[in-house]
Amino acid sequence: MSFYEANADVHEYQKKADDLHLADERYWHLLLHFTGKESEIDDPKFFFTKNGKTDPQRELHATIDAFYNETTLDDNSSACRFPARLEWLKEKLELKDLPIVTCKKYDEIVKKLDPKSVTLVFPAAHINSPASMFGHTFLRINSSYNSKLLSYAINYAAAADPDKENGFIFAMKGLSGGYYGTYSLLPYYEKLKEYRDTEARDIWEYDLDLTPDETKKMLRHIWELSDTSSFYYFFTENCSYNMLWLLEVARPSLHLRENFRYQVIPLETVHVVEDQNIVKSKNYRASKRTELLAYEKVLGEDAKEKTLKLVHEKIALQDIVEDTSLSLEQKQVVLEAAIDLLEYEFMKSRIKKEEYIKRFHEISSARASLGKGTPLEIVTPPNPDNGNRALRTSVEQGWRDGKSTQFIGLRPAYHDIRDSSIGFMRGTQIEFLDFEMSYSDHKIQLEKATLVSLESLSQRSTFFPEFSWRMKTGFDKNFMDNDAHYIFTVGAGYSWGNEYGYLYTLADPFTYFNTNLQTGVGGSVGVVLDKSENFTTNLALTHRWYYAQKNQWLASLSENYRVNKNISLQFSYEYKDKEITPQKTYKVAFNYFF
Amino acid sequence: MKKILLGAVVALALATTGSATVNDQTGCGLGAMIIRDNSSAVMLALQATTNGIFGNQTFGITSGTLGCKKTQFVMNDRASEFVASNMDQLASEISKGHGESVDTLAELLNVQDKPAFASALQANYNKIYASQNAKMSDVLDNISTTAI
Repeated sequence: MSFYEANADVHEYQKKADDLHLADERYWHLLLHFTGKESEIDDPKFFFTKNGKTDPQRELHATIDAFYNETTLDDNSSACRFPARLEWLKEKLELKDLPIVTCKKYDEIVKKLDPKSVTLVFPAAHINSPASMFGHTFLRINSSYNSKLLSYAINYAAAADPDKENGFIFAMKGLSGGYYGTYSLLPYYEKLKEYRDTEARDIWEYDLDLTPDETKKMLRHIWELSDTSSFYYFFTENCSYNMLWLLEVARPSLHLRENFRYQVIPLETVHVVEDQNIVKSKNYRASKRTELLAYEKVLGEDAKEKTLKLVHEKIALQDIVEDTSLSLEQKQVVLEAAIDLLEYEFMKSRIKKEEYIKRFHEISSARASLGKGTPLEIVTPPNPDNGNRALRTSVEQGWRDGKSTQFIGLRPAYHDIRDSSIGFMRGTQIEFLDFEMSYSDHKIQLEKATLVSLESLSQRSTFFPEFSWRMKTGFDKNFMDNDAHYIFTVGAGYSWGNEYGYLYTLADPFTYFNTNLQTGVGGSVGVVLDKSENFTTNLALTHRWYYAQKNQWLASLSENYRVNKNISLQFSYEYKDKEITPQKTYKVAFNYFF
Repeated sequence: MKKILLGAVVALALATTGSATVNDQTGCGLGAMIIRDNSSAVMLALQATTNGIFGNQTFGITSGTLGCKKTQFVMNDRASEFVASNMDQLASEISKGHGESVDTLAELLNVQDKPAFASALQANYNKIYASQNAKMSDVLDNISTTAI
């Protein structure tokens, strides 16, 4: 039998498909990434017909036709390229006498991945880059191995070439759909090296209750997408959003995507998946940085300094090994921490590879000779899924200079340092489009319209003597008069913390874009107390020196009470020096996140 | 909306430090872990922010042992691949005497008693990593002769 001669009647199957209304079925639309108007896949290779992107029925007919009229019987055959479509049509239409194809590459992947279950993986924020708080999500396909390191990660990302693009272009293109998004499949350990080690992000894993059969279904579809690309939109058709398609293909009764209209913040996908009750268990992997901070705690002051000196070669390895002031356990920990810190410094390109290998080998060898120790204990922090949802609405009753004033606020994203830090990285803030209006004396006024505000108050430690920074741009009411003005400010400084809280001091140059530019610099100190699970106290004091020889004090005190994950009460007092009399505002706010 | 985002991105670019893009290098010896090259601070921030990747993370299952010397005693592709890609992690866990990579290797080599395996590896560290230039094939062969 030649494969060119289709001995089954393609038209009959097409008619049967029409009679069964297969082209209207949800699963078919899922396979095509069809949203009602068109498919989100932009690559013509993904369709058998020119109208495939907009016409699911025609694509269905063309698919049946392609399966019976293969032009090749190897990896490039239609059946090998579209195993999910094939499987489904075979089942629905009872397709008979299909050409026999050999799918070498696909079979190899299925064999190697040995798909059994799925885990949603969320690498949390990256220190000093609060915008990464938006995070990232990808899926892990677990095999029958016990070790999760042997599973594979399926990742969707914008593909850019760093040699050809500068950062600015990359960002602009990334936001506006100027890149192609593509899927990649990598061993999970490679992903851990990337996120956990190099980027020092804590990893959160959510094991889903998908069955081996559903997982296999998903893999078939992933394979169909492997060679295609689509425009990548940072806020909407991004990494996390595309993972939702895959989950829905695995189990079509799941409705995940429809929870998102305007943007898909990766952590929000975790919330949505949890709402569907498909998370079986959760797991935490500490980043290299978190691990080193835990070592700092175990080490104590003296041993910590010695570790740092050892890594920076200010003290010889032999001196540590022979140090009589250190116990055997302490020596074990010093050397372990030194190995990790050395790796970290190497990953940050602070030491050369030859130097790294030599020292790594020496210290590891010395550590091994000290025998069995106690494994480092790392306390699992609150799961990010305990953090508030992204969108905040606020209703506030206030008293400003003795007058009753009402406020309402809306903030689509995401977190500020006065909120409870449960589920977020301490000392980080990211706000997009934070609006607040006030009503008093029959007048409605704009209180603030922050376009973006970012803060990274990174508490310094022996191993991580980092600096803190923040920026804000948008309208605020902190200027000398009583109106809202547009400000741009970027500042830097230091922060220190312990288990009770942290304090910071920053210098913030600023510019107000009034009729004439008003520039100046602010000096701030602040304290945030967050030891209690439900109460967060925030105190900030700023002195501003304006270029136009004006001075100004700004002070604020707030107490945040976390009623539950998505409700908080906030009591605050604000003092602002103004041209004539200072302005004092007391507020009680009710915040609801969803 | 675009203007707003532009502002955000520029500000972020101005205000962030750190370094670099990720250079995904696997090799057969120590120090071949992912390292950063010394390009700009901005890139990392943007990369973390926009969930972009640079370089070509591909779709496929490459063996990860390309260009590595073959093992003499251990005929186990998956184990070779794992060791080649996790040289540093494995060495550091062996020196500490425990860890997920050590357990993974035990599973790949069908070793039942994982704690005993980890202890044996630790005790034989200097034989397994006879020099700083030890390669995957040396490590895996040495493990098979000393710890199993």
